[in-house]
Amino acid sequence: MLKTLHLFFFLCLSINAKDVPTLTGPVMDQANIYSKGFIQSLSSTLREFNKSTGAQLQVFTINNLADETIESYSIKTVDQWQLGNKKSDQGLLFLISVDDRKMRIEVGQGLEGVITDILAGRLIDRAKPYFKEGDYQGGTSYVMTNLMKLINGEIEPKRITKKSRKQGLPFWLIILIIIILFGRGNRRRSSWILYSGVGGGRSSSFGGGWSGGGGGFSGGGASGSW
Amino acid sequence: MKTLLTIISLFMLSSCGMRSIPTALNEIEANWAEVQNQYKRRADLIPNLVSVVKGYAAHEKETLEGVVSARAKATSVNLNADQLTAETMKKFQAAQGSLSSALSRLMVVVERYPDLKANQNFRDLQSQLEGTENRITVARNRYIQAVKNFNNLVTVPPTSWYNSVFLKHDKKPQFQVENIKEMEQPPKVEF
Repeated sequence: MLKTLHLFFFLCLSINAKDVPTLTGPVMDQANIYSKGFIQSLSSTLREFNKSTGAQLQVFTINNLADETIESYSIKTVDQWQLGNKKSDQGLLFLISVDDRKMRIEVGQGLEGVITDILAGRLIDRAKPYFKEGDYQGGTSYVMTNLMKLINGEIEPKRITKKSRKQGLPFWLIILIIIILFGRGNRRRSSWILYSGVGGGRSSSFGGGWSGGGGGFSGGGASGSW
Repeated sequence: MKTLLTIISLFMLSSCGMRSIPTALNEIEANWAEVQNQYKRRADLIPNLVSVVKGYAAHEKETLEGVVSARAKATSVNLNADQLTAETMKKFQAAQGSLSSALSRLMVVVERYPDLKANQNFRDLQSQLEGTENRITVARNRYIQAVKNFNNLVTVPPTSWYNSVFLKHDKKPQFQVENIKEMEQPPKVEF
């Protein structure tokens, strides 16, 4: 009863505001700024990351905010998608509004300790040059790989240090290389598709279901414009 | 037969406010705690902010002192969820509102000091402050929703009947727009 009432109020309030689409995959590119290969490789990286750490990272691009602030649209989106699971609240949204030249990292309650507002703010600051040049893919992978690096540091610090000592390359760097390799080279993309066994897959059909698990957000993170 | 009757009456009670009103009240308490928590977080940031700004803009004494005294005033007004009335709420909002405006005056002053704005320490504090202001907005919105829900339960039938007979809760106060007077006047633009 309470829940339905809640939902009802929510609907009442958001009649005039921009709608939030249904969550279909870890990379939702409504603004069409990424190549297919980039979406696929980043999606599978984020899925893998979700499996291994439990943290649910989401990329979402939109054309414009339609007179809403990026903060309010962002919290509305995560309230609807509920990224992260209910127990640990480790969800995160990287929202990019292309026409407004704005972006925001919205941090779930369970990640606020490791991705503080300061760190989110710095990441946004340092991603700005990429976005200024129109290199959306570069900027996005910069932000996401660094986020994963930060999260890995807290969740399993021992495993990561051991691994990186053995392999010489830190986990995030490997991911970055993968993203660069498959995100940029079109010729390689087709082999990637063959390799993963999903022909012409989109983010929605790539690798099974992707949905939120009831993670809570309280407005942490940082925004910036480029 | 008896058990059936109890089940039916329980079911009826549950839909007329016996469960939903206390639940909504708890929701308000939790949301109010979060509001206070975030305001406190903001207050905790201010000493650091003031000391960093002092290093670069020491002669903006008046503005800095304004922030410090507004902070002292804001932290002295504490309100538990069961003390929430329209009057106490007004007091709380006035105290926090004057801190907000003192802070925004400080941020305007800061614009004149490019060295300060480039300082990493200051930038970090600024993103913390922005993050906290956003958290306050989110917490306030959730409180507003919870109060709306509760007020509907205690004023709209059928749950209001149960409330007026057994629980006798009053409506809970909402947040008001802080600077109505300022908003009525057109903004001053100076070149």
